[in-house]
Amino acid sequence: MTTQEQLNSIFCMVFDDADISIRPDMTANDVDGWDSLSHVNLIIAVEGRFGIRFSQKELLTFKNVGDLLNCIDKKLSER
Amino acid sequence: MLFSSPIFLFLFLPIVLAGYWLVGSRLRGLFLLGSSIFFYAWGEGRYVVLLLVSIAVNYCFGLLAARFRNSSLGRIVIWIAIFANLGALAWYKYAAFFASNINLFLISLGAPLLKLQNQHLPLGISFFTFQAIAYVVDVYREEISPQKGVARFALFMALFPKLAAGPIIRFDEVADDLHGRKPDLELFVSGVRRFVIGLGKKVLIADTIAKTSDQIFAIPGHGLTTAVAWLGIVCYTLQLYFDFSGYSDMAIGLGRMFGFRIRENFNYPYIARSLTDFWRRWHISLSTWFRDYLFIPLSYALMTETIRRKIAEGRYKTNYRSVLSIFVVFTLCGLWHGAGYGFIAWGMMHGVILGIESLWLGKTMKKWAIPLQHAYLLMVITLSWVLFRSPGVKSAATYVKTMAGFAGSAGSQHSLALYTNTELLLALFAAIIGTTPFAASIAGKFNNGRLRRFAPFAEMVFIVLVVLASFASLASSTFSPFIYQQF
Repeated sequence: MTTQEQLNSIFCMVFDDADISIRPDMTANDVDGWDSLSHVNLIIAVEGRFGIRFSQKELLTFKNVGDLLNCIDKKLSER
Repeated sequence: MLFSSPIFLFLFLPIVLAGYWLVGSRLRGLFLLGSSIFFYAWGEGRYVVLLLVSIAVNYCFGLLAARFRNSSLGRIVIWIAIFANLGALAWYKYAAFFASNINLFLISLGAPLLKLQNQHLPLGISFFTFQAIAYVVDVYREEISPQKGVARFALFMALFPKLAAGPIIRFDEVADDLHGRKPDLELFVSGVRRFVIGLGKKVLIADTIAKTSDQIFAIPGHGLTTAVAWLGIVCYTLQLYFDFSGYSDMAIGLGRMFGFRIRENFNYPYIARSLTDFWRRWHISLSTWFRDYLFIPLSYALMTETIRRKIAEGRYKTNYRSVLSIFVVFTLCGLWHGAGYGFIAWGMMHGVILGIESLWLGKTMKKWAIPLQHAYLLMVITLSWVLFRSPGVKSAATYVKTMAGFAGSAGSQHSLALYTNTELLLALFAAIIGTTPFAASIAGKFNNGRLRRFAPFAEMVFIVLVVLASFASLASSTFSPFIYQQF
């Protein structure tokens, strides 16, 4: 599975919607229920599934799904 | 010095603007800093010392946070910086409130009471302390480099357009502008336009509507009728938005006149379709501050390894700890607005509703008809402003009861006709239009339509009319302070 596919399954789980299909340019406005609260769940789930940890700095720089994907890939390649 | 006062409009602003653009580019920053300090001292007298101390101390915190970023001392620096800033805020804003609460407890013990007078609330302290905390934390989180030039840092803190009531600017937002501002006619003109629109919102709409909402909220609870209570809260709802977004427009416009690009603080909040959506549109500089510096760190601090695992496995769908964080954050957000139970209750109400929306209601609401979603938001927000405006929780409860139809016995003396007049109705009409993007969309159509070449002329006429009407209104009335300057 590519990172994007893995991330997609996390999105479906967190937002409880099997039909979500993520794109790099997607933002919080494009996903029902993506607010600050569920964002915490999303990030924690991503951290748990990929076995990575984001810094506070990184958390605040995610402007869309693409940023999140890039950051995950970067962390995975650093391991 | 209020932005809408004659002394600011006809003396301070023209002199500072002329001086600023006439002095050489190397002196511009210092000139603006001097003017900003003067602006503060004009209204606040000796409290300017507090601003200067805050600048000096936070300048040092910034350097220390960068120096000790990667050592355990860094965290200590951050905590000291947070405590120092919040300590100053607590002393000036909350000391008397906390003391009176402690005294309630002491009375029951029969112990001697704390004697604390209400302190003078220094202008803008709620805003510049938050700005300083964000700055030091950002330096520590390596989001920004510390500002080594004292004068530039001082200008970041004291810049007069945003000093009194925000927006709470972030350092990265103005970092480039702090380093040098070249004359930019287009930016300047857009600033003037924005300032005029803000002036009109404040003087023509907010102040006109305020006369009615002030009268109605001054009626003792038992004297209200249901219709008058509704008129009062509708007026206040519109007054508050036009007062504060008008102020923000003026701040953003002034910033642009001096070459600073300050971020938007509002985005048509009353057209939101949920409270969650509302908070993305209302007082954006404060809501994002609470998100970035309180909600996210608090939510993470509350996560244990077990819970992290559960979330990753999808076994912890409802993140109760984040819901708790939201509640704490909004309770504190309420307290930020003022030392009183009304504000705290207002914040709690928002926290609870945001939690409910995130847990369940938000998803359900998406299936509702759109007008119903708007009606829901307007109802929630209007009811919450009762808490915000009333002198206390008890009077707010009486007010809401009256709104629900349980009017007091003496109510009949106050008929709706006593409080409505043509002036108010006109202002309300303009206000309701102004809460929607309607005017902007008309202007957009005009700019792209067949009458395109008349657009600049039409805009100029509009701006001049707003200026003239505002000046006329200022000349004939006593001016009233901005609501958020008191927070």
